[in-house]
Amino acid sequence: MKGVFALALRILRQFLRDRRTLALIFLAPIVVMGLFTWILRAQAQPLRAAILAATPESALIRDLLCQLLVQNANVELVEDVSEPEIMAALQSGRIQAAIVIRAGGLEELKQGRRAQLEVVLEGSDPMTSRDFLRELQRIQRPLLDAMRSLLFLSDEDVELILPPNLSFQFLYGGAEFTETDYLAPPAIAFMAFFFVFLLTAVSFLRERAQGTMERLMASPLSRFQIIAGYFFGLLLFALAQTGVILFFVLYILKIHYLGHLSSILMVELILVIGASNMGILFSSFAKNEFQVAQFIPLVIVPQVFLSGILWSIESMPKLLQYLAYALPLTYANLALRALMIKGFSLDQVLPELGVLVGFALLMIAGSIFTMRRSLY
Amino acid sequence: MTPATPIIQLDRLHKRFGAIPALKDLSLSIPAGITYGLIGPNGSGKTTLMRILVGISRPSSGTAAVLGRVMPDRETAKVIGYMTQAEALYQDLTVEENLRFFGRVYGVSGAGLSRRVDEVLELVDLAPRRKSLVEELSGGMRRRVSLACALVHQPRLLILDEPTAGVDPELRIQFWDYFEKLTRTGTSILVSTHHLDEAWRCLRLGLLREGELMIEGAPDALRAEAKADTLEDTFLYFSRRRPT
Repeated sequence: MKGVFALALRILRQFLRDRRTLALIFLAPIVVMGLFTWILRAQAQPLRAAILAATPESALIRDLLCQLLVQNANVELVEDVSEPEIMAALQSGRIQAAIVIRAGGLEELKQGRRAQLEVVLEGSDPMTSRDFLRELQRIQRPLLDAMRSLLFLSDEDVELILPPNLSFQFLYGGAEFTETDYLAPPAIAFMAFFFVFLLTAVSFLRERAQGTMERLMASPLSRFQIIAGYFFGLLLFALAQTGVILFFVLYILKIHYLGHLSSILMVELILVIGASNMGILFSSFAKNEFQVAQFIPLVIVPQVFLSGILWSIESMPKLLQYLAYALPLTYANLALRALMIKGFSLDQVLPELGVLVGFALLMIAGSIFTMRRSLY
Repeated sequence: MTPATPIIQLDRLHKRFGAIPALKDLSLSIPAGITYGLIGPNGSGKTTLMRILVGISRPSSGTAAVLGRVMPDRETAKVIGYMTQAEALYQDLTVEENLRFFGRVYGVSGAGLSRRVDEVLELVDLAPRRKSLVEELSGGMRRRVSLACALVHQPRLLILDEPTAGVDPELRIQFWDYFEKLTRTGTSILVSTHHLDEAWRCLRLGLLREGELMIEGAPDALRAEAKADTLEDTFLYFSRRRPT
């Protein structure tokens, strides 16, 4: 046990002396999380749009539309664009969208003719296009209501067409929950997984390359003790990192979260056992640090996309869902989201924990096996 | 264990890597308390033999025993010191931190560890540099630290894999002075080398070639048998003489 302790202590000492790595472990997650939150929380820039009436009669609808868009949607009106200039204005970026009202005079509407609205979009960024269409959809209902009230202006009708009174109830989270609250739990899991995997792989590789692994193998330490020493050394860093990230997201970014800190740390602990042993396992397939870096697109990137950090797993194609459920980070994300957003207790996430424990055991077996093989 | 127990005993030792034989039918007994030299060209199996003796590698057949215990054996590993061909040090730790780490790994701790660290630093003349980071030291100093790391736990058998390869002549002489000091205190040493002038300072020598032990004995006896003036000629004689 003393040998394991000596190893853990040595790893701690080496990391503490390596200021750049320290900065990577503690500052990088904070910068990433901070930026993410900043962008997500920032009020989106309003869409610039020109709204034109092609006929004098449709000016009324135009005014109505402008008013509704400004009041209810995040749209900024650009006034001095005439119809022939639309394409040029879109090209120059002065506007991102334009609406031309071809028909829609009160008389026409009363005769039962439909108003004709032509929407022109810049279109190179589908996100911007989709945003504008969503804004339009959002005002469709009030626009309809307003038009009706213009057509049949009786008090009763006004009563009838008042928008319905909606009230919301949330099973989990709440109206004040934002994307950040949803992203924070998997971000914590991902950072711990990523850094522990990378640091273990690199330090283990270095140990082999500089020959100290020969010395350790010749010592009375068993393979298991060497792995345990590494795990304990890195565990402290992983927990310290989790602590720093949690403090940052909870008290500085003030995300909403439920559940106990100890449950979060428990999930992290199991995840880190798996990640550190995975690092040992993979380091034996790398000849140098550059080859370790090559594991990042192989091991880390798929987990970013598929483990439900950014997109929910249910929204993915069936085939990718199977893949997602083969990734360890998926279970950490599920468990942490349940703990932090739904306020579950540990015994409610036992299946996920079970998978994580299984993954950790598999990786321990793998790392012991490769250590045996690498030294024949 | 009786005083007559050899420090190293090889019995029909074979080692193959896949189809390639690395050690062929090695049988050898080395008495305790001496410096035993292993001579042989690169790839002759010196390192492979040493790795089996420290318990990192397993023989394909036959046995290698240290102090009467068949290796690998974790208990026996405690009394063996191993200096690899590479420096095998943590560059970002100080001399003292390296020594303390390897000491602890071998189960030395507390006041005993501090005393041993002082002793080995004294032995390799590095006491003034104990607080220096290894990466700041010269190549020769690192070699001495590497030797010191193999000595902290006061091993009874010291296995040194080409400790003087690429070392300047002055330091080589110094190294052999260290070895002599160590054998005087009862440490047994198995050392491999390419420098034949060093082989003279061993009590016994073994010549390995392509995994076979060509000849084995005291330097003078070997030279007399080869009817040669120098060790170079002695080894050329034995290398060319294929055993029947």
